[in-house]
Amino acid sequence: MRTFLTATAVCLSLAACQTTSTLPQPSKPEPAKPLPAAPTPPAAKAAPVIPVQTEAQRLEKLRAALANKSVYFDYDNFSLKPQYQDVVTQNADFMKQAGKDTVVLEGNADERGSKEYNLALGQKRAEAVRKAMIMVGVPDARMEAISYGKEKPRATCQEEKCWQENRRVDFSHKSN
Amino acid sequence: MKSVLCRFAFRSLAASLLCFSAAAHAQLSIEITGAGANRLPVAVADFSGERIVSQALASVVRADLERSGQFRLIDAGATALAETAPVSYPDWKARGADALATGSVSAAADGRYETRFRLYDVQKQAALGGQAFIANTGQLRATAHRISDFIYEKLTGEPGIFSTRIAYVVKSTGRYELQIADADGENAQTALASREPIISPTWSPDGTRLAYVSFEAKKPIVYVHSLATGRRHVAANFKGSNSAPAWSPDGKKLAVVLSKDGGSQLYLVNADGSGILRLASSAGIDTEPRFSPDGQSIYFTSDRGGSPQIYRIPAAGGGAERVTFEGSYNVTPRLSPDGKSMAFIARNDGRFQVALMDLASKQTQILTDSSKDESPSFAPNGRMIIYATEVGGRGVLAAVSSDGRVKQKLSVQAADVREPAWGFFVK
Repeated sequence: MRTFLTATAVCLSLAACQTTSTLPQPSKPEPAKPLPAAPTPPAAKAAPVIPVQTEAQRLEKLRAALANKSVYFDYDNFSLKPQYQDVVTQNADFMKQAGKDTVVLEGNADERGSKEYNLALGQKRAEAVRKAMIMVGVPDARMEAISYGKEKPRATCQEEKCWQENRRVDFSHKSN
Repeated sequence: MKSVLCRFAFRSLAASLLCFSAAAHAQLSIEITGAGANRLPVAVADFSGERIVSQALASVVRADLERSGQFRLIDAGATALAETAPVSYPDWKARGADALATGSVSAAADGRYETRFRLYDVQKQAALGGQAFIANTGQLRATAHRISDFIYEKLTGEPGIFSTRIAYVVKSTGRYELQIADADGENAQTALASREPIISPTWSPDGTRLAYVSFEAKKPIVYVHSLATGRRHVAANFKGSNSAPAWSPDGKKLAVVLSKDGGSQLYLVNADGSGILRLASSAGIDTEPRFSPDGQSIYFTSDRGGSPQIYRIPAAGGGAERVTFEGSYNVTPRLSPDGKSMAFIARNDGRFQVALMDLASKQTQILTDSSKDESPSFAPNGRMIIYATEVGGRGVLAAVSSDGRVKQKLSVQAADVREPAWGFFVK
């Protein structure tokens, strides 16, 4: 089909082309039907071809989607809020599907206070998520809770709307 | 108080050119923003013969002394004075100088240079001593700093810190550099460049190694880096976060914070990474350990009482004793070299400021008027505390004297500077 379209396109652009060689040849006999007087060339758009998604590709897509979902925390606090249980469950479900995946739970903190105390706060947050993941059946051996402290802010203004963006845990899945 | 660039002290054209070429390497520039109340008037004459070395030693000495905030520099005029020249005490007294330094530079037979100087007490009309140094051209600034150290010690009774070095982290877009510079901001060299954060550098007591936390492997790991060889080893890389290294005074061990057993907890590890031992355990956060200079105690930050406060435990293990009580956020304890006082960061009305506590009386003084102070570090003579802060949204270093009077700002053009660590005396 593609070859045919290309050939047509080439011929339409070349005046010297012989029309006989480029007429569509029906692949199977069709019932007698009046031919259109002036057949319009097929549109440039190809008919849809849906590729098969390999298992690896499917997991990669999910992995990327999960990387964009974070769990957020209150100031100087590391308890997991109920509304983020969903995110934990989605990550845990994914871990079950991707049987060899490991996940790094990356804790973060807002900019207020010392670097090392914030590193410890981020660690507490990452570990709160780790415990929640264990509760829904993810083996501890497949997880590592670490902290970036306040070193990797996602938002940099110096007010609460940015700070709340930075008090979070990210899920970084790794295929093995 | 007057605000002047340290550069003002440079008087000769040669020095200005030197300054200009140095600025091209994003040097740490130091601005004096406050000086001591009773500054000693001192004159440092140009050294005779110093023009042969294209480096003005006397101007480096003058800049050192001025920057310390302890001295008021008296104009010594354009005439070079050798240490052997007779001193006209009444003249110097008339100019207002209490002390005078003179010196000379001459070529030695082996291509190096001999620098000699002498210090005089103008009031007592007596020489206070002098020294001689043999140095190649690359060592002349170091020679000048040695001279500044001598003058400082003779006149104040405390050792000078002009020959020490400072480690700090420069952050520009997507790049972190751990740098080491002389105490005057010159000769900055990069020890580690990384796309990931570097925090908590701390000097080994012998001044040859730095321990720090690097995120280059996408997690915090504690490294020990020998500066002269560029060799580095992992001191702590356990599952989870590894951070906050602190050297024992004998340089053999590091207190570190690990999360391997859950939470951030204190451990002791040999500097080569062997022999891990748990120091304390709490249900909360324990971090930012620091040994007392006598090695007997470890001070640290903990939220075990509900808010972050500073505690102390015996280094050999034992019960924790709370050290800070005022306010709801006191972190980052740093002991003075004599062990008598503790600098830390206190939060006051939402502002994070450098505070100093006298450990015997528990009297606390806030030393700064900024609001985002972090990472205080004592100069090895205990006189100054360098720390990180923010000015106009940019990370800069600042230094304040332990009496709060002398103030300096240290910045690098177009970059954030943070995580200062003042090195020890060089033997």
